[in-house]
Amino acid sequence: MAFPNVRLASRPLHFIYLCDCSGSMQAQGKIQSLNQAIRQSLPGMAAVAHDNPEARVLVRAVRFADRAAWHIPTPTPVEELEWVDLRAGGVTAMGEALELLAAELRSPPMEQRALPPVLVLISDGQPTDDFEAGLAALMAEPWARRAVRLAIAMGHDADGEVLQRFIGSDLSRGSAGGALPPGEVPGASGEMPRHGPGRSPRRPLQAANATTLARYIQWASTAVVGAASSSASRLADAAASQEAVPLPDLPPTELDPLDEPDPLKW
Amino acid sequence: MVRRWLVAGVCSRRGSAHRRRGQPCQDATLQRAFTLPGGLPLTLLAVADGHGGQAYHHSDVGSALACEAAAEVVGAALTRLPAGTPPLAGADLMALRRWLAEDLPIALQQRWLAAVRQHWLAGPGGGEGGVPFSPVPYGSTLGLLLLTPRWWALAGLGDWDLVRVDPAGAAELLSQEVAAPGAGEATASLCQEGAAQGGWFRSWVWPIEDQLLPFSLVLSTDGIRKSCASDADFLALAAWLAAGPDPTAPVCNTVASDSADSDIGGSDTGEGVAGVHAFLAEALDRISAEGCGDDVSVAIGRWQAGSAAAPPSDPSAATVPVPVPDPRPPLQEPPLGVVPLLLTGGLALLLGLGLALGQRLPLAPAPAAAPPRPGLPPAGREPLRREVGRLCGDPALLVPSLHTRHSQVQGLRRGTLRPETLLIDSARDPLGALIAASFLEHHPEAGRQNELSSLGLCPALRSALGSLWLPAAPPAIHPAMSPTSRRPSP
Repeated sequence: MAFPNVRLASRPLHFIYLCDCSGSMQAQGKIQSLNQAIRQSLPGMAAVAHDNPEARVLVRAVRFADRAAWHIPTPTPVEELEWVDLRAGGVTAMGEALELLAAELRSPPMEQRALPPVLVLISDGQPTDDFEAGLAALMAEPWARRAVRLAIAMGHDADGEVLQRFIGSDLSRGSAGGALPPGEVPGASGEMPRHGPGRSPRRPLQAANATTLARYIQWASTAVVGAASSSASRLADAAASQEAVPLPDLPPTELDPLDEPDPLKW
Repeated sequence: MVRRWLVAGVCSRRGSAHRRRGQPCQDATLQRAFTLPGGLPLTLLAVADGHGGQAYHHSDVGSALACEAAAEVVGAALTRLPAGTPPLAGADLMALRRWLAEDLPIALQQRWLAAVRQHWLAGPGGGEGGVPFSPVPYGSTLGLLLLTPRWWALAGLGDWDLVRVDPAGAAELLSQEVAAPGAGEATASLCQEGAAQGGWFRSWVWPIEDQLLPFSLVLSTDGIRKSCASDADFLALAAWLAAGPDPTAPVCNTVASDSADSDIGGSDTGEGVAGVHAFLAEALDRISAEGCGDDVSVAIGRWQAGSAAAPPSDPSAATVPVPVPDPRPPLQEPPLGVVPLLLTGGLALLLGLGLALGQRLPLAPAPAAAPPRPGLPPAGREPLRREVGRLCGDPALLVPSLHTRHSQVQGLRRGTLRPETLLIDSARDPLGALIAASFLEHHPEAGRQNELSSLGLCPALRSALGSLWLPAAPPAIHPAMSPTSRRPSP
């Protein structure tokens, strides 16, 4: 008996960048570094998508400056994506960006059978609009609460508290039975993380220069996408206290924000 | 008169993603035949889905032990199960429902916990190097069908699905897990503390009348449904699985069997292995490979008997008639309702949802009368007001917004989801809270203060919410989904 005419399909995995394009991003080549880092990460992300055919990795991007707008509005298969450079100028309408994102995380248009989306917020400053309203709108959406939310701070002027609130509280903090330093979480391997104390994927990632930024973006677009592609079941009564996706270990970085002054440091 | 159940297939297959990663199959299935006192045959079909992931590294063992625990518990309870002449009714029916809802969950979880503890103790170092025992690494769902010529029942917990398929190929979803908003991959599990008492189990029993028409039941783990692009595709796939296998297909290599359909109506059959075909294994492999990559399992039972009225439906039923490629006799009676997923068009869709659910989902028993409990605090009301403003400000949002909440509507109707649960979460899920408030407004017997009266609902929103709770009536069917057009094409 012939197989019926039904649509079998891999599960969509939405990967969405939220990129700060305020005027400060023009300084010290930050916007160029961001464009380059994202562009260079795409082949790796495509390879991960190829290795996980059960997930269909779809990329979008929001840019925010004076206003927020979709930079890549259509969920685009990563292998078809051609990154168009972002340009910097204006203030930091981060709250509006979150509202824009919230509208796309409603069901519909979000598919009920989608994998938890991956949301990556990248910023070098502080929101200049109503961040609270934007965050409230975003977190009112079940898909946003289920999402893997990551934040990358470009330089030391970024508002770490705002980025942490986007990520949410570190749900795993303290669950390691005291074996890990405060704020640390074990990686998906269940072993001690390779990264040093004080760094955690559940906290804003501090990118002090182009190299670190590129590594974090590469990590988010490969390791995290790989983890999100193989989402496993969770217990219903503990869903609120569990991460949607066990986050992989952070990549090693040689450069610490407190290192000696560096002409390339933001 | 022929009155028998056939097992058309019981099979688990390792998912394509698990094959690629070298992981074991974490699903399990079981078929076991029993004889009730008095000679009535009973067949147990079980599917279980181990959770997978790092935290559940023994879930392949956990799912297998869940199936075995079910067989042991059912086997130990045979003298308590009704075996008299049909129809099953009255005290016998109530006692069976009570056993399914109360005693079976407790016995199942206790037996499973004992089994996984035994496995853990037998492990390296008598307990994995001194790590305290926890059932969590063994976490698994469990779905059961108990099939006799007098009655049949479902029981279990977790994200499995049960589909009923009539001879014309119309498929309806009889049971699914009601997920909380934002639950994601979360599911109820045997490894949850207090799962047996916490309302996580679901069960129902259907008496079999003398003239019950033939139909099939397809019990499946979530990998099947998640591999389908839509619920309509899932139901069409279930109908196809129920119609198969091809009797000329070779026997499945993965499970020892030398029979086609396994007749379990009046005689014992080989335990746990019969009725699995290469057709089924190939189909499941294809479903996983082209779908979500997860392990996939099904257990299919067919009722073969005379002709007359269809069985009463489970309170969780929602009907989706689907075309199947196998031409068979036309429907003798149209399906009773339609799932709004397939409908389009304004409030007709909402009416369809409300009416279809109203028809298929009898309301949960009304709780005892009680004085009105306190309403929402002002802080809890504000998100509802904002949501009312959003929906009333753009009525086009009404249909798509309520469209996504049929599981909450189902849960409230069945009594498996408490309105308080949604109301208390109004800040995070204001629409869910609004639905709960609407439910309470239409069910004053619940004894809650009417939360809607102070929210200033516009007529369109009030009408849309009210339609969710309408009693049974002829459903508003989109012309494209009329009974005639829903018949399978030859």
